[in-house]
Parts: sequence; C-alpha cells; structure tokens
Amino acid sequence: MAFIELKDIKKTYQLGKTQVPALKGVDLQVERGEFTVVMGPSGSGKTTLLNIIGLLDRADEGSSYRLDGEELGGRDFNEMAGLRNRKIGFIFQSFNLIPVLNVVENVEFPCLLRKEDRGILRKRVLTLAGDVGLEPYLHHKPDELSGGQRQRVAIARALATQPEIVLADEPTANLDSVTSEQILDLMQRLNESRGVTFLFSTHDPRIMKRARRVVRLADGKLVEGNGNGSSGAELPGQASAALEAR
Amino acid sequence: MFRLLPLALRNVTRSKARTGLTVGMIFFGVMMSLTLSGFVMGVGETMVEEAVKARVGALEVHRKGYFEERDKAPLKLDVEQGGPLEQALASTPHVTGVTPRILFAGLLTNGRRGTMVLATAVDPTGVFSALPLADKYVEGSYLKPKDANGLIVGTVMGHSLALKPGGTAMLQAQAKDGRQNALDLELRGTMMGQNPLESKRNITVPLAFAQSLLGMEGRVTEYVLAVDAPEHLDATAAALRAKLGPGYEVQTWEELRPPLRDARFVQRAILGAVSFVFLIIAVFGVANTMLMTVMERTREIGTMLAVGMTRAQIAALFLLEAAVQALLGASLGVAVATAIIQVAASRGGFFVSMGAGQGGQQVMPMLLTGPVVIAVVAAVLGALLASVSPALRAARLRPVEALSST
Repeated sequence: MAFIELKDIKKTYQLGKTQVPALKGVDLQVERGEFTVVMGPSGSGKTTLLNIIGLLDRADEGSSYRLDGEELGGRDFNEMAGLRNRKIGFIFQSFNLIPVLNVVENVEFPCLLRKEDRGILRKRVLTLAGDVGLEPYLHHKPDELSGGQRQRVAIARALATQPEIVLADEPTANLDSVTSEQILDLMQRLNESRGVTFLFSTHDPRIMKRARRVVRLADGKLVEGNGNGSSGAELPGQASAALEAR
Repeated sequence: MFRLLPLALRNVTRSKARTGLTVGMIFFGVMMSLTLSGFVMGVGETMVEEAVKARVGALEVHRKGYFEERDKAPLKLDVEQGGPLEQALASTPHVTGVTPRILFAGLLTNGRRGTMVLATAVDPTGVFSALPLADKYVEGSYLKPKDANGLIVGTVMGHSLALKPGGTAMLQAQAKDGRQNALDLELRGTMMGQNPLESKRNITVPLAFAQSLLGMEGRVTEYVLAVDAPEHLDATAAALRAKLGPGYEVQTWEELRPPLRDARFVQRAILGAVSFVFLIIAVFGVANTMLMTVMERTREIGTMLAVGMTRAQIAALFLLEAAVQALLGASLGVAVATAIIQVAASRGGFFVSMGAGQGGQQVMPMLLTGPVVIAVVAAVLGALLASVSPALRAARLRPVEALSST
C-alpha cells in the first residue's frame, strides 16, 4: 500500500449558480520519502490537489484519501487540524510567516499548539534553524529577513513538527534564481537526510529537474505520472523534456 | 490557551494606532464613568453622612408602638433617661454614641404671630456623641452646655417670626399629663441647609427645657445612636432588636428617611445608566476595531489554521487580545480617574449650594472600591462580548479561503 493513496478525487466549486469542477477524478499514489512534483498549467487543479492532500480542503463525496493506510475523508474540522499539525508541513509561495514572531518563535509555533516539552522543543528548533542556515537570524522578525531567508524559516517551520509529508505550493515562485537553487538544494538535502516525503506544485523547471517523480495535471485530471511511485515515476530528464515540449 | 498569551500580547503591540484606539475607548469609558461616579457618589455620601451625623442619627430606638401613637400622644410611650435602656444601648458593639431626645409639637409665638412647630429637644452636650455634626449648619451659635432656654430655628421660620439671635419667643405645648404649658426661649442660632418644610417647621430646644415644659423630668421619647461604620448599620440594628426584645423599636436612618434613601438609589441608578452608555460606546468601538483586525489578518489566520490551530484556539486568541486591551484601558482609566479625584479632594472638594439663603455643603469626591471593580469587570466583559462576533468570524474561516485572501 502506498504512503499517500488518492482514489477518484473530485472537487467541484460552486461559484454563484455555476459549478466549476477543479478535479475530475484523480488517482495518485505517492511512496514514503518521495520528492514529487505536481505540474500543470494554471487552473489545472494543482493547488486544489495539494489542499486536499494537506487537509486544508475536502474532496467531494465518493473520493478516497488514505495517508499511511488511514482513511482521512469525513473527518471533522478539529480532527483535520490535529492531523495537519501532526502529519503535514506546509511551505507557501508567500512564506506566510507570522509577522509578530521572530525566527525561532515562527519555527516552533506549530509545536506550541500541542503539549510538548518547551526545553526539548527549543533544542530541536535550534538544530533545525541551524540546518536551514538561519543561525545568525534567530531573533529577527520576518520583515528583517530576505525572501530566501523567509522561505528557509517556512521550511524549518514545516519540519519542526516532524511531519510525515511536506507540501510546497510554488515555493520558489517569489524568489530569484540563485535563491531558488539554494532553497531547492536545502529541500532536497532535507528530503534525503530526514526521509520526509515532499510534494510540490510548481511551474519551475529547476524543481522538475530535481524531482524524482513528476506528475502532470491538466484540466482537473492526471495526465502523466499516474500509478504508484515506482511504476509511474518520471525521471528528471523525462520531466524536463516534457516541460520543454510544452 | 495560556500558550497563546505571548502571541496575543505581541499582536496587541503590532498596530499601535489600532490598539491605541481600542485601549483609548475603554480608557475613556472607564475614566469618565469613574470620575463621574467619584463626584456623584461624593455628593450622595456627603448628603447621607451629613443627614446621619447632623440630624437623623444612624439608628433610633423607641418604645414599641411609638410610630403609631406619635401623632395622637407622642409623649405617652416614653422611657427613663439614663436608665438600663441607655446602658444596654451604649454597651452594644459598634455603637459609638448614644443621646436622648424628646420630639413634640407646639406653638411658637413671638408675641404678635405664632406658628405650629415640630420641636426636637436634645442634650446640648451629649448630642455630639451621636450627632457629631449637630451644630455644623447653625448660623449664630448652637445650644450652650446646660442651656436652659436656647432655641434654634430654621431660616424660613426665623424670617417669618422676625427672630434674631438674642431675641425671645414663647413655646406653648401640651404636657404629658394633658395640661397646657408655655415657656420662654431665647434664639441662639439659625439652622441652614434644611429643606423648605423642615426650615419652616423644625426647631431645636434643650432637653431640660422640654422636660420642664412637658412635665417629663427624667423621661425622654427616643434615643439616637451613632454606629462606627456604615457597613455595620444593619447588623447593629439587628443585634439591638435581638437584645432589646419586642418592647422596643429600632430603626435605621434608611427606614426613618425613605426620601434620602430613595434619592441615593435614584442617584446611583442614573450614574449606572450613564456609565452603561459610556460602556456601550466603548464596546461598539472595540467590536469595530476587532472586526477590522480580523479582516486584515485573514491570511495569517489561514496560516495558523494550516499549521493546526483549532477554531477554538483562533477564537481564544482574538478574545485574549481583546481582554488584554480592555484590561490595559481599564487600568489606565482607573489610574487617571483616581488621580483626578485625588487632586480634587486635595483641593478641598467642591461646594454644593443648598438653595438661596440655605448655605451649602462642601463635598469631597470619593472613589469607592465597588464602582472601580464594577467598571473594570464591565469593561473587560464588554470588550470580550464585543469581540465574540469578530472572533467567531475568524474561527469560522475556511483555511483555503483564508490563505487565498490578499
């Protein structure tokens, strides 16, 4: 059984009197520890798919989402919040740091929501901040950091709860090319060293070059890279060729 | 929830203008309410204290049935002066002074004109133990020690009978045994600050004079008592009723002067209503700024929801922020109101006129613990109440929508 298993995921938005289908039955399996990219044009459903996997949104009735063998559909709001906190880390395009908290506080914030020993937590957070290269900025507020540094904070925050999966929605879209490379290096290193599953949505060809697997969405359907991680995996070269072909 | 407190404190400091506005509104409401309370309560308490210490006394003790009989035969239900009753009264805890009086009706004439009067006969020396301010509003002089024929009248009566200090008048009254008697009095002073009816009808004479006029040597109709503190009034009255048994009536000033009690009640009710209006204004202000805060921080709420905050935690965060601001505003309000009242009191308070020719009272503003506690609790509860709707609005946001807000 795959680590993430999506079956017939559908999502329809109601916009006034119009029903807009965002996902039209997506099947996807992701193995533990994968570094997977979801690509596709704007409006293809990438973000909706990541939101459903991240339990930020619910799929329509009849869809099935299993994480590590556990069916996650039909959970109530607080259960979903608890699962997000324990199992999922988020990295956003706009970093989404809390402006009144400094680097250390931002990183440890999700952990404060559960009863965790402050001493152990602080130690882990400092190690993590060191891992992502934020040691000199521990007490800086987000508005005192560059874009790349802010995204490092977001990465550290995503990993602080020791999640099983990290979801990154266009994580390099607001960064320059040099910083993007550094951030990608960092995420790849963390993926390899910590064995955390990374799932990206992106347009960025550099991410696709590094991905162990690329899945492509178009018009709410998975058109490439379907199946489980091993059989459906795209090699970086193939992914890059696929992108260039667009 | 306490883990959210540091974040709430930081959020309170992030927008100084908005926090300043919220804190300022609470501050203004609490400060105005307490300052007003300080002055109004000052007037009220001064009014009560003056009445209790100058005229009525904290407690009165009579023979049982005195109030029913006093219009027909006010002297019938009398008690021995200086007897076991007086000793029992004086030995009761919290009673700090006891003085005898006789109340009776009579006709005061100046030789040409006469008027019906209600006379209060007091012991010119002992009266101060129970009514320490007995001479406070007297223009001229009060009754002298061992005064045999002194007279104090109200300003209206003094004017209508053309009485001046040193001038004489004759008081005619029915003695206890029914015969008519009359004795001369000499005006010592005029009582200021009474209401018009009292000023027209009431006179004060020496107890010995009245006993001689009424044939009541060694007898009095009532005892007036002082109590050490207002909060002991009801308990002392109850203790006296238990101690004296069914043969006596014990009444507090509130029972003896319902208009005074009612005036104080009305005053406090109006004060409460005005304070409530100040609070409502502050609460609407808080509701408005909290709503703006939630709308501005929608994306941040989305982030907090994404990392696992529950709806209850989101609501609690905003309520905590409201409570912190309310406490801050209320504390400042209490501090400034206290300062204003202390400055006013250190300058001797203010003068309240009792009407033309009636003098007036110097009123000391006072800040009592009760209104302070009520104002602070009401401000915090009001701010919390005002923040419930914005906090719930924040808590009900869907993470996806909140995250996509700009």
